[in-house]
Parts: sequence; C-alpha cells; structure tokens
Amino acid sequence: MKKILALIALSITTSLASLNALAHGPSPLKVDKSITIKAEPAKVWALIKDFGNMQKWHPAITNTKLEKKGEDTFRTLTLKDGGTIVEKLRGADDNDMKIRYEITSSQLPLTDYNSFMVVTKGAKPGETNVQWVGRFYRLYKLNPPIPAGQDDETALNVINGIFDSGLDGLQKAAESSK
Amino acid sequence: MNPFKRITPLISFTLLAFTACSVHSGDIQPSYAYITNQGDHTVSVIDTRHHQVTHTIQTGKAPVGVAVSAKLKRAYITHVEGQGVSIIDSTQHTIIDFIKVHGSPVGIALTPDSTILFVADWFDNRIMAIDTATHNTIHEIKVGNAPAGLVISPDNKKLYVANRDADEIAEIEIASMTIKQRIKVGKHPFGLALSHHGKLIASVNVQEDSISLIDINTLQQDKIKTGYHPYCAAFNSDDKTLFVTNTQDDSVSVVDVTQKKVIQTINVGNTPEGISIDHANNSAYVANWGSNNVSVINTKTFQVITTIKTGDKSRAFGQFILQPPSNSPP
Repeated sequence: MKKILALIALSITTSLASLNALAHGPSPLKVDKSITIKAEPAKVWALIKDFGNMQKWHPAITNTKLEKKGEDTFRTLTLKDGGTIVEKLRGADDNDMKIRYEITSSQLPLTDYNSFMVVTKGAKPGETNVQWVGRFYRLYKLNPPIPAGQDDETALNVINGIFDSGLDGLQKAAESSK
Repeated sequence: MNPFKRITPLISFTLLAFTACSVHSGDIQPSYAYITNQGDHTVSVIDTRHHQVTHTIQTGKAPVGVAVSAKLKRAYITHVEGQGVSIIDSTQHTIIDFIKVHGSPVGIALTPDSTILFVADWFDNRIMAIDTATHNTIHEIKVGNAPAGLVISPDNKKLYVANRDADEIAEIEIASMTIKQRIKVGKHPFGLALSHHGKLIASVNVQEDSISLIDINTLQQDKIKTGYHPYCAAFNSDDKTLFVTNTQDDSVSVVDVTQKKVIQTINVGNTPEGISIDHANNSAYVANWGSNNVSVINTKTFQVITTIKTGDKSRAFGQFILQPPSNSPP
C-alpha cells in the first residue's frame, strides 16, 4: 500500500511528459490478475459495476465522483495522496458481468491505459472468480536509452500495486456480512 | 535359391510408393503461421492443416512484426525492443541470423519477389531497405511520423507506409527509393492491407475507429466505421470482403468491399491484433494479445472454427502465413 502511494507520488513529478497525446511506446504492457472470493457472483458484480463508488472497495481511493458528459460516463478517482485519475466507462454488461473502462487523464507514469474486470462463478457454490486486466504503455516514447521512472518496470509496478491492493480490498468488501 | 531375394525389392518399392502417396495426400504441403509472442520472446509456429502449434522458437527480445518468403524459405521477425530482425529457416524452424537495426523496428514487409526486405523504425521515422541476399541495409528513406504498417504492390514497384502520427500513407517508388505521394487517411493509421489485384488499399485508423478504403488509381477514398480501436486488416481471397481486428472490442469486423459497410462482427479472443489469411484452407488467423491465443475464422462462413493456444502477448503484425507456391488458390 505504501509502495503504491510512493509510486503514485513519484509519478506526479513526471506528469508533464504524459500530456503528449501522440505516439506511445511500441510494446503494450499487460497486467492480468485473478482472485477467488467467498461471496455470490451477484454481490461481487454489484460492487464492481457501481462505477461511481470505487472507494467502497479500493483502499487507495478516498473519493469517486461520477459525471455524465452527453452519452459518456466518467469518474474522477481521488487517491489518498491527493492525486486524481479520470476514467471513462466503456460499458458494463450484466449478462457477461464484465465492465470496461479507460483512463482519460492521470498522473500515473503510463499512457493509453484501458482495462476490463470480469466476474464468473467459482468452482464451488458461493464462490466467485474475478479477473482484472489492464493494457497500457510506458511513459517514454522515444528510442533507448529509456530514462528511469518512465520505463516498463515503473509502469508495471504501479498497476501491479493498484490491482493487488484493489483485489484484496474487493475480497474484504465482498466477504464482509454487509 | 532364396525366394525373398525377389520379394524384398518389391516390398521396398511398395513402401516407397505408399510413402510418396501419403506425402501428397490432400494435395497440399503444410502452410505455417508465424505468431510472435511479445511477452515471452517466442514465435509459435502453427501448422495450418491441423491447427496445431508444431514448434515454439525462442527469439530475441519482444518479437512483433512478421514477413515470410516461401521462395527463400524464411520468416523475418522484428524486435522492437531488441533492435533487430531475426531470420528463421522455415524448413528447420530455427533462427539462422540476426540483423542489427539501430532503432525500434515494428513494421516489416518483403517485396513479392523476395529481393528486398523493408523495415519501419517506429521512433526515427525512417524505412530501411535490406537486401535479402546479403542482409545489408541498402537504403534508408525518411518518411512521416511513427511509420507502422507496410505493404508492397504485387508488381514489386511500390511500397506503402502507414505513418501513424501523420495520419497519412506514404507511397514510395522502390526503384528510386523516393516518396511519390502522401495520401491523407483517418486518424492514426496502423495496419495496412492491399487487395490481391493491387488496386485497393485499406488503412486501419486506430483512433478514429474506421478504415479508409482507397482506390490506388483514382485515389477515391471511402471511410467505413469499424469496432473500437481497430488495428490490422486482411483482404479475403476473392477481395470482396476485408477482415478488420478491433483490439478493444475483442472482435473482427467483416467489411463488404462493394457495399462499403460492416456486414458481420465476429467475437474472438481478447485484444486481437495481427490477422493473416491462409487462402488454401479459407482460414483467417487472428493473434489475440490479451488472451495469448489465435482465433481461426472460416473466411466463407465467418465462424470461429477453433482457438489455438500460443504464447504471452501474441501480436503477429504483418503477413505471417507462409504458403508454399503449390498451394496458391486457383
């Protein structure tokens, strides 16, 4: 947890570079994580699909603000260190229990981030599997040498941290009796 | 007198004849799909008759682009992070050489006569022409920003380059290695496809969720909406339909080239990127970056017929099916 916040804080210092909306790095990165939760799929899906309330299950997020802009839905996530991430909802499908969204602006040391979360029935009754997949690029967009803090490893560390603590938080929220 | 003396040669002959027969049964030699797996630094080789991975080749770092030559019995693989091109012997499925490229090669294409290999440097905005006989770089051409997809006309005369961040296709005359024209297309073109007769070019416009379909002679252009963030495309054997991978919709759009609209959307694996068609068995192979596999689509029925497990982050950017000359469609 501390590590994520430190990484997010570090990223704010490099945020100017991320304003460039043009070319991204050549190699998309992927983080693909799964967890099994002892709760009914419907309960887990209800938490995930509630796009405007991510703070209910993610420990790094203190506030979620939902906004409609025409047909599109956005949320602004406020992090414990004060940083923000703006995300656009791409769709939430109740049949497939799958939500898709993408980052439209953030201070994270990465670009072109999009993600999905999908909920499926677990192997045993009352169990649920959740898969969370993110696709993104490192911040640095030119030929090597790649500066420290803008490389693949930095981008991967941040998302790995967000996913690990998030899935942990999701499990706690879903397994609580509430 | 030993009666077997006469029989043995007969048996041998029969066995030989039988073996020869089985080689030719089905009338086709195997075609292979070379799937680059960027995440685990391998190439999966799929035998397209049996839809099976028959070889997994360890390559240099982060393989992306593919070009193949039946004539030279070679597959060429770009390494965007590894800064070079691996050369695979397609009879042995082993790497026989590595061409160092100072830059970040992504797109790659061979002239149909297999004499020149073109490689695009994503960051330095240039195209390198490599002699396939000597492996020497014989020319460098400055193009537009972020050159990505490459296709070459069937007569070996023209190279087309998608300049992603310039929203254009550059047409290069291969004889003089000079840019003859720049064709404006939609936003952020990545993959390109050329029809078999060489008259139509399709530019896949990632940021605009569309393709531009361009008549090479008249430059008349039509834009057709596809799925979200399309990436690559391939013309069907009869040039009447075009298949487009939609990376963020996990689908393939089938575009009717005459009607200029999407007539079907096929669900495939997660984040589909590269696509190539084996014309001998009417199958399109789609590399799914997100789910680490390949979806095989019947190009006549538009149904997914099977899914083949490959490696981590399959990309296969380019024309990746090596089809023996004898398998060409009638």
